[in-house]
Amino acid sequence: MNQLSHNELEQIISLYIDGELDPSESKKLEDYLSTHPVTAKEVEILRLSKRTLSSQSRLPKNDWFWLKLSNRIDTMHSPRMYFSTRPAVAFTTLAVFTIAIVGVIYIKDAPMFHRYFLEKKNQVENVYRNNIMSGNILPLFANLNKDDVLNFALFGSISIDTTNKTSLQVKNSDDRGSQIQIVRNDEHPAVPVTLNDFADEIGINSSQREVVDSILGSYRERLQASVLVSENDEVAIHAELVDLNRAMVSTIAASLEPLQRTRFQRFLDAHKAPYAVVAVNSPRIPSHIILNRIPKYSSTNNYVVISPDTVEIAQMTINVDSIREVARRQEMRYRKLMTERMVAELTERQRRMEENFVGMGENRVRVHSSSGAFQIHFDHAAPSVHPGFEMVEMVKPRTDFPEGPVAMPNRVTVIGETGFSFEIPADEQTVRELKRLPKGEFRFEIVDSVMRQPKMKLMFRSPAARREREAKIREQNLEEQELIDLDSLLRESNKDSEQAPVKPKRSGKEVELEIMM
Amino acid sequence: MANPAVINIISGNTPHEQKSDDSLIMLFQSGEKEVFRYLVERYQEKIRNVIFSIFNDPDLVDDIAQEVFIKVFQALPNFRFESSFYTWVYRIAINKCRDELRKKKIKRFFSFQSFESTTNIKIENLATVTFDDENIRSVIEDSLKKIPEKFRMPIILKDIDGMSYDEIAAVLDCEVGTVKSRLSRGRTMLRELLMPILV
Repeated sequence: MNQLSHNELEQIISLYIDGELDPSESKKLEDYLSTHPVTAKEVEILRLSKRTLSSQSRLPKNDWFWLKLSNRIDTMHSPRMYFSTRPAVAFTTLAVFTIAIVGVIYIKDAPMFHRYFLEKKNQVENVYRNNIMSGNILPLFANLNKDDVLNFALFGSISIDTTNKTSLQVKNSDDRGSQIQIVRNDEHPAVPVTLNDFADEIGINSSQREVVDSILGSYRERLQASVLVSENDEVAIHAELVDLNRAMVSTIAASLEPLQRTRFQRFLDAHKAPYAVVAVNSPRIPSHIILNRIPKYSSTNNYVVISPDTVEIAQMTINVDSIREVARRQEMRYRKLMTERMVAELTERQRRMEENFVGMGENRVRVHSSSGAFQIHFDHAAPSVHPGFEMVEMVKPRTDFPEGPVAMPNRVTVIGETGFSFEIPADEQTVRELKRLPKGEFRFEIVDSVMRQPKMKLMFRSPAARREREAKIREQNLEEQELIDLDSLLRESNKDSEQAPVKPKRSGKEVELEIMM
Repeated sequence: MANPAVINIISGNTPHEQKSDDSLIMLFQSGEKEVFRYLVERYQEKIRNVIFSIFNDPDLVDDIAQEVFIKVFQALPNFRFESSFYTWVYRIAINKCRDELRKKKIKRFFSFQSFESTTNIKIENLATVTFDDENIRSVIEDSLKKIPEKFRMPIILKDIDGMSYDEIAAVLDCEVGTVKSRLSRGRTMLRELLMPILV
């Protein structure tokens, strides 16, 4: 080693660090290093450097990479010049046409023209200045068929991901506002119906079928533009979505004869749809009026934009055709991926913030999240999307929100044996903790924090307590009495405790669960 | 003997995800442009990470990586299977990074004066700093950036991406001996930058 030049020694050290020296050469170098501490220190530094660099953190995976790349590749291959391939001629032609068109419009209605551009400019500026949505924006429901739209109309529910049983659900009520919620693990989704089932059961003729087809087709466009997601896990939901299904059911009902409407009512009842036909005997509205009066575009562009940390109302003008074109290439797995990430991100919101309120005109919009779901609640009915005839009265939401199996377990009220009570967030961890409580009986009330009313009463019992209770029931047949006892206990707890948050109603669904302890 | 890639294509039973690079390229060259996606998805993260290793700037990574794959898309019809697809894409990525470095004038031609002053500032600033892993990482990465690109690239490919000498030679389009020599010189430069700070 001592005879080597400086450069040769450096190269041997480099090979040694990479483990490329054979054992005998390595041994020679190690012997040399043991007598040359300065060189040994240099080798140590290089080893540290290699070790540090090889453990460099990797970039997080970019799930949107292909989507963006395919857009760019498509753009490269799309034709750019429609008039002439000679740039000078094309440019001149374009300029002349532009000046002529702009001139004509401007002269005809100059203030309108100016206002229009100012308004669009402000909208665009607002979206970008406030960084409302960033990155690629895609419609969540890009490829809906008419059966999907019909099911949304009838049940206010649309499946997002069948594997995880994730769905978007809309519920509205004339006096209690409206809700949009995205729910995971929906164990009791509405049983889907097809357009053929519907046509057979109502007994519509072929021309009526065409009208229903057209109605669903028109609203499909609106539905597709109503829920947008961005690559940064933001979701924008058009405020009209809460009313869109009601408008569809109304429009379909209006296209039916009175007798068919009676069948339609039975159909809605049989499928537990959240609407009731109220104008059964009104005359059928001619199809040309129906089809002409379905608004093609929304009258407002109010979107509720929810990010993992914020919620706001944004006026957004969306070019649905262009994003649909992007979404056309988007496979189901992307949608699933996006949804999973978005829902996971948004349902984590509750850990960072209690509730989000935001004003929309005179109304308030509230956003709640919990593990498994998030929910947007409009204090009052959202802007009506009904066409201009008496369809509003054609159907009504049932008085209550349907007592669906999917409650929003935002809070749990824990009621102790001595009458005290307190509320805790009902996330998954809490439920796990509750299950670790000592043996005995515990009663919990799951409160819908939007409506501030009990959604469900849960009674957790240990096996020992359950056996005792069963023995008691056998002796005295006290099952009904048990519920009364629960109510009296709750009444007592409310009386004793100033912080008793909610007065329970008997209408709350009562469920008994057993805890394995 | 039949080319296994051809058998693969003819059978058509294997999902695209499981086809070899060569099979996918042959499909692409025969007009099935959609298969490009599978090639991209197979290598996008490796390419993104090598770009990140070179620039250390996550904001730049995706733009450059997209440019790389666009170049791959354009050149793939003429791919002649003389090297592995992986090496070829890597070479395109490295060349693209070099172009970007040139464009951004990130060449490191430090004069002795500027180098000395920078090092002194570092030493002064770091005099009171305890070297935890993150500090060491930051010092090493900063020092690596100061090495001329010609010597830095082999270190990145070897130490960060874990390539063999042969692979580095294929990617950088040079002899294995040149790779060894550049690695050695690059490491000497790196060590000279690190010694005053870390010792």
